[in-house]
Amino acid sequence: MIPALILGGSLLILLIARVPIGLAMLIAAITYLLSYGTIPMTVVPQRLWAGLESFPLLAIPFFVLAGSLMNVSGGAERIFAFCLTLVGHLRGGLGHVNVLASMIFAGMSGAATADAAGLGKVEIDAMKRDGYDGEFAAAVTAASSTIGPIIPPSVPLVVYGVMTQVSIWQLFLAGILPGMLMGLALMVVVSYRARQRNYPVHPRAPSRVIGREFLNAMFALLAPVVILGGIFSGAFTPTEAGVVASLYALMLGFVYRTIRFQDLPAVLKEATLTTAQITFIVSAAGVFGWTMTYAQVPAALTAAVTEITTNKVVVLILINIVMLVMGCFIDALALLIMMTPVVFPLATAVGIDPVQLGLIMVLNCMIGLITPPVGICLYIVSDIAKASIVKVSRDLLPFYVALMICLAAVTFFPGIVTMLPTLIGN
Amino acid sequence: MAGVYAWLRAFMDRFVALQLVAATVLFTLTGVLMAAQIFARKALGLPIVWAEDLTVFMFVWTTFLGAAVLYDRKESLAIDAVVNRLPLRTKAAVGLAVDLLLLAVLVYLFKLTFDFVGIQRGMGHKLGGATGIPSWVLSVSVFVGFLSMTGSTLASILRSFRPRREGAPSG
Repeated sequence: MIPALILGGSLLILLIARVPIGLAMLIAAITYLLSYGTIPMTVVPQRLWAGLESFPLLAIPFFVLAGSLMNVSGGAERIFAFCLTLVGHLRGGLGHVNVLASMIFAGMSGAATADAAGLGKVEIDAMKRDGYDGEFAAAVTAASSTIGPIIPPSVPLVVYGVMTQVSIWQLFLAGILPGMLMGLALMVVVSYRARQRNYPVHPRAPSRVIGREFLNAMFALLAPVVILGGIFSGAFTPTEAGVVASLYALMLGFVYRTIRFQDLPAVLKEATLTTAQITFIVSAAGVFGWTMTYAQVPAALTAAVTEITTNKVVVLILINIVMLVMGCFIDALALLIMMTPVVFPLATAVGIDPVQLGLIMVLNCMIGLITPPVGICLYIVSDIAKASIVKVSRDLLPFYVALMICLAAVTFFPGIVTMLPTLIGN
Repeated sequence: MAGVYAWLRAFMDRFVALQLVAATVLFTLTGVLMAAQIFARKALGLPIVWAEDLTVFMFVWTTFLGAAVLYDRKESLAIDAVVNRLPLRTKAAVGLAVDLLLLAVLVYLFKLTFDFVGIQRGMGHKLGGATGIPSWVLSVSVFVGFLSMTGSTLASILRSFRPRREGAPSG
């Protein structure tokens, strides 16, 4: 109990005081080790880089870079134009286009913020021009950006896989059906809202136009085929797929003549810093997680919970509640990195499938990205739409419900998550 | 005090800019090396045996240099929902207290890393694989990162004590 209090309590106080998350984890770990540890403190710097000495973790920078390059390559605009010809004629057409384009974009980018900031700008501008409220446009964009890290490739799933030694390949496969389910659920909400508010309907695009837009967007649309096909056929490891995705996005930019060589340093600098933002926390979490194991916190937590219940569903509901509440205040990836070492031993002790747990944790974190007061995607889209965060949050309410239903579905029906890894894995 | 702050800030600006360039170059080289490795393995059937170790090595350096840059710019991920709601004076006091705590911890981490590099050098331990790079070269990245963060924290503390001109905005 005392180790958990020292580690958890000091971490909480430091986080509230606005200590950077990575350093807060280090300070909490050092506080415990200095108070109760009987090992040399040089374990701290050793664990710091040891946590990063993992080849699969290298997938993170390249999926981050691929997202940045895809945004400046002009692929997002072409995908959007193609989706418009497919579903633009439905009531609330541009809302559906928004969701569908995000689902396609998810197949080439691994981060929700890349979707919200890049594709989001195209989507929100188009929706506002078409007469949609800025708040609604921002709300759909924020909600659809959460699909990005569920449909592979996915930076959070790579992080979870590396931390728990669960196959990243299986996690990527597991994300496909929940991602599609989320897209469908969001489209239902768009339809409902569009009827309520009488949003515009576009005429159905003739097949000649669909064909033209398809050719126009063909190379961008091929990106998910190349990346995911490469991973699932076994041609590339997820890390190699990240490199291929970056090279493909770069090639797109040169083909579409949207990227010049002089633009590259800025894109590379941005990707470098985004990567460091994530991986420094992963590194600090290596020390924090190791200290928790040393202090036997996960074992104590597992014993305490299993004394009350060993029911998988009850444990998953508890995990969902804790993560949803914490997700309102903590950044998605930081939350995932902090919670995984605590939750994973408990979940495996009661027999929860580690792949299902990974998807559930990432989905919770994604919902956290669009919930105030700390929701990065919510801030990004509100800024693009020049809309108030409160009003966008209000328009997001039915989308929260839809995403909660999806979360409940993957919690209560593990088959949605495990079906593809089982089928294809076998 | 103002003179010391100005000197330290100017030094840190240069140091951080240098780290950003180094991190970006390492990041780019990691990508180039990985692409070369994929090409050599898939197209030529000749894997570059040292590529994996070297990419991980550059990745670790990228992380700690990049983290130091973000820290100096106050762009590290943190939760500001509570502190941002505090009155201006309280917020400044909390900021100073946090900076002082961070300074103490960073100096300690800096010393720990220095000791650890010394231990690794003494043992002559090398990274696994074909590169044969000594392990301490990897630990130096942590050392440089904490050194830079210590300098940034010190600059931030000195900034808090800097005399302000009449009517100049705080913060």
